[in-house]
Amino acid sequence: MATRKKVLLKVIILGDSSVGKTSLMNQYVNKKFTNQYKATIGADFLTKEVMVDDRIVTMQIWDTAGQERFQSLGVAFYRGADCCVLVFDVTSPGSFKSLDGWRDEFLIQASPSDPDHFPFVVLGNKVDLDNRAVSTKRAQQWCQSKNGLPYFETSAKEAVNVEQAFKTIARNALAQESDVELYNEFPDQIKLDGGSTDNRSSGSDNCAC
Amino acid sequence: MDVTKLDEEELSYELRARGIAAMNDVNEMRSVLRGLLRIEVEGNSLMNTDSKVPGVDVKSEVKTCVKKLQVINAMIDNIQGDRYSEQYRSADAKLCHLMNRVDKLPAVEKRDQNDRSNLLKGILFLMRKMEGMASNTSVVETNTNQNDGAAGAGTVVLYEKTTTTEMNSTYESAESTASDEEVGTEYFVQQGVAIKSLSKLHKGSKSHKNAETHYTGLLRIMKYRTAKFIEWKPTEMSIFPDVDEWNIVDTGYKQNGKNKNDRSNIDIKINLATMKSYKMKKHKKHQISILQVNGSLVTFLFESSPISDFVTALKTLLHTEKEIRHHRPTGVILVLGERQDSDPLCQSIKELKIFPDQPPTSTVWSFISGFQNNPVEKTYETFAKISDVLLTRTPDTRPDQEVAELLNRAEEDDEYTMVDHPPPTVLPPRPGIKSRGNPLDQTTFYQSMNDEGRITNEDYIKNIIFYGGCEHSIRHEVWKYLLGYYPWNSTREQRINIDKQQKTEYERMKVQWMNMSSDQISRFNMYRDRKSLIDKDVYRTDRTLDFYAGEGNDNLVKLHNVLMTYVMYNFDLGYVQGMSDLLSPILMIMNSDEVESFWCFVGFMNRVNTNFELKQTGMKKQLNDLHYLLTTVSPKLENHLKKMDSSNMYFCFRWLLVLFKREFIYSDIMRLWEVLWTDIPCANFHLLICVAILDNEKDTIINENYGLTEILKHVNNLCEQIDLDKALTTAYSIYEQLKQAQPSLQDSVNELLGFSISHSETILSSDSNSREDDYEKALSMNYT
Repeated sequence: MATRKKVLLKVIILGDSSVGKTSLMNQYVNKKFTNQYKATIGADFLTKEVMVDDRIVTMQIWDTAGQERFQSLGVAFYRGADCCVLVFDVTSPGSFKSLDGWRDEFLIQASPSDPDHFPFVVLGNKVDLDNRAVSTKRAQQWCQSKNGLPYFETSAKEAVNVEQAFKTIARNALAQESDVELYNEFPDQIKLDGGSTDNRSSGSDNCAC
Repeated sequence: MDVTKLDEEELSYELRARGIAAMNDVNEMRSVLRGLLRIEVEGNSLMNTDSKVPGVDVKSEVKTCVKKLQVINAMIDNIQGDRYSEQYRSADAKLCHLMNRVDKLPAVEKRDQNDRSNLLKGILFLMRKMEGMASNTSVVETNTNQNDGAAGAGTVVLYEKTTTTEMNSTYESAESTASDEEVGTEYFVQQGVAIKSLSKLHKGSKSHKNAETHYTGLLRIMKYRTAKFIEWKPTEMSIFPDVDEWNIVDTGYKQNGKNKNDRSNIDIKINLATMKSYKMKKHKKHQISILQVNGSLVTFLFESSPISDFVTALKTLLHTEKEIRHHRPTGVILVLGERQDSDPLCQSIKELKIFPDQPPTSTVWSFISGFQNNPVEKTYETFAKISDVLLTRTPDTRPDQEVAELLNRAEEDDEYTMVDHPPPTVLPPRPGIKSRGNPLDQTTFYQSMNDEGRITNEDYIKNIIFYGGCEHSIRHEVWKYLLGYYPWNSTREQRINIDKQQKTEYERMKVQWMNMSSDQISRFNMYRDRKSLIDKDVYRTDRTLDFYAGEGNDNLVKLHNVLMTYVMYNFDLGYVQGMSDLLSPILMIMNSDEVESFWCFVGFMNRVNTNFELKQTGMKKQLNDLHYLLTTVSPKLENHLKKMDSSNMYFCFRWLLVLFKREFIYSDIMRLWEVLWTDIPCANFHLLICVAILDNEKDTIINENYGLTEILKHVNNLCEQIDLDKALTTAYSIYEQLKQAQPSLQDSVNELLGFSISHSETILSSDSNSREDDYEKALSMNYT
């Protein structure tokens, strides 16, 4: 008998120090914001159950340290990521310029099976601040140049666009998850569902193989 | 073969080998190849074995293959996960591809043949390295046994049907012939062992519910020149009625004797190298089932003798590990490989230096030695078959899983533990440690100074601090000694001078950054980066404490100033996240005095600066050292961590980077740091504290069967939940425990804990009063 498989989506948040990775995660999961978050040391994650297209999925959102030298040790936790969120601070051009580096770093460390189509989502955070230094257009252009990555302008402080951004993250991660299953050519018994999602999986079954 | 793991060049080759012209789009290539492979899984190879692959030049092809071999070797070395991990699957797919490729190398000249045979050796080695890849060996063995059968020796063998028919009569292995004629060494022998069932398990195997015929016989484990075998020969026949739970197996064994009812012709031989796993039955401890890599299952019944001797014998010959599925042991014992012995053949092959770092496995080399003695055509053909087997086997890992699950269904847990590495040193029981003492008080501290203001008994003071910390009111003074700002034996006058000098020195460095113009800064990228990080971190360091709370708090400016000056003091290291955490309590204790805070911070950083290096070598070393200690102190927990892919100890990263700053409340962290700064009982006492805390969580972690992420979460959640006094006493108790076991400890552990004869002598004679006297004094003062 086919049973519904519990879906866990692993999401990694990357970006320069102090762009708001921890704040975004906490705003999304706990609906809270405080100025008092400390710099993240090591790695941590929060989980949240959400509905994505009629399916209940558990999002495991990984928050990491922003300083580059700390990346190498945490690689073990990147493995098996379903989506990577690249965050920059719209008031900090430097953090925007770093996006390329973060993206490459992730692809090297996590080595997803299909790097060209791995889902990234880009967030320009801190839009509540006045001293904006990276224009929407510039950010969009960059996203466009990377195969059209989804881009959101967020404020973790004022909860602007956070929910929407993570909804997209979840949806794209879920799509990635299904793809991985197809690649793995899992046996029938753990096919996701006999119900509503069936269309979806059988549809992609036909196309890829 | 997982096509997503192949690159464009490899895809193109695979397609050309199947007569398909080049395509431009990688995804299209993958899709087409995936389709073809699916057809091949059904047994219809599309590979044209006779004709050459278009566009292949021998010389460059050999080069390409050698390069690929090296790449795959490196990939295998880097595999961290299990056989379902991305890395494993990548290496697997690429190795498959390479096998295929070498298989099709056009060997025109003698040198080409050598190249090819060398490449094949390499591939074989890698296959073996990748884990139960001994299926190739079993194929060879099978075939030989068949030949033996034809010669009248009558051997029962277990094999994949497709391979046998193809392999039959093509190959004769020197190895197995030798092992049959040779008188081997007996490792284990037991009469009266019955064989319960014998089968080949693969997709579509049919269930059998009828009562089976069983035979009793002689069971032995034999070592021959090249391989070790479990051998069984029947002596009589008996019938067991209870076969209910064995309906999963297929009694499809072959009898090679002319008369199929002649049971005396039935022998069982299982090469240890082809053993995949074994399992004992939970409620019927006299049964053991052995599964081979090719899917065949043999069950022996020990009706009149204990089974434990046999299991022990297996364990001494094999590296094994308990299988874990869904965080629970399944009861299946996985065979990781044979234990090495210094076989002369291994040595000679080692001299070929294909992979100088890896000792060759006797099975592989025995196979190779056979293969070298054979005509080239036969060799070629044999490998072509093997590659077919591999090609069709790889994309489908299901039979293994199926078998494991079937085994699980029939049986449950067993009590056999991992015998993966040598048994750990048995430590003596942990000595009871007196509870913590009273903190160093003002009177004791100042009374310890002589007329000039020298502290006459540094060790005595340190011991009190080690046992009980300091009273808050004197921290301001004591920390300066502990952090090396004042030497312990300095006079009052000298200290006044130090204050003066160090103030000047601090101001000098502070001016350097304060005087930098914005124009200058605009061209000083490295400075700007450091400054920007400090600005961001100061703003979020301990802001919940009154001392740092509120906008425009002057202490934030001081925190910033000290960190900026430290950048000028040690520009190469610069500012690294975590440093502001280390400075924060110091600035508070020094009553916001920048100069004193700075130099105390320098003293602290001198102890821990390797934590912040760019390459993170210091952190890696510490995590590694911690792992060593844990292996010695709590092998059970270490085993669990290893199984859960967590032995890198990364979950302790935060503890070590900022010395528990994030784990304890502010008052506790000050107490803890004081203790650590005494360097009593050793400089790595913080690692023992980690071990103590983990040891305390051991039961939760193991019983709840926490995996990689759960362990991290659990450890992160310990934040502000740890009982500091308990952690300190446990850590000290562990220290004493290890000290007692010192002679039997590994050198690395002894070194970490400063256990060496010369060292302990220095301690005893370090001062006019010995350290032990100090202990006694400190204790008597604290406890009376």
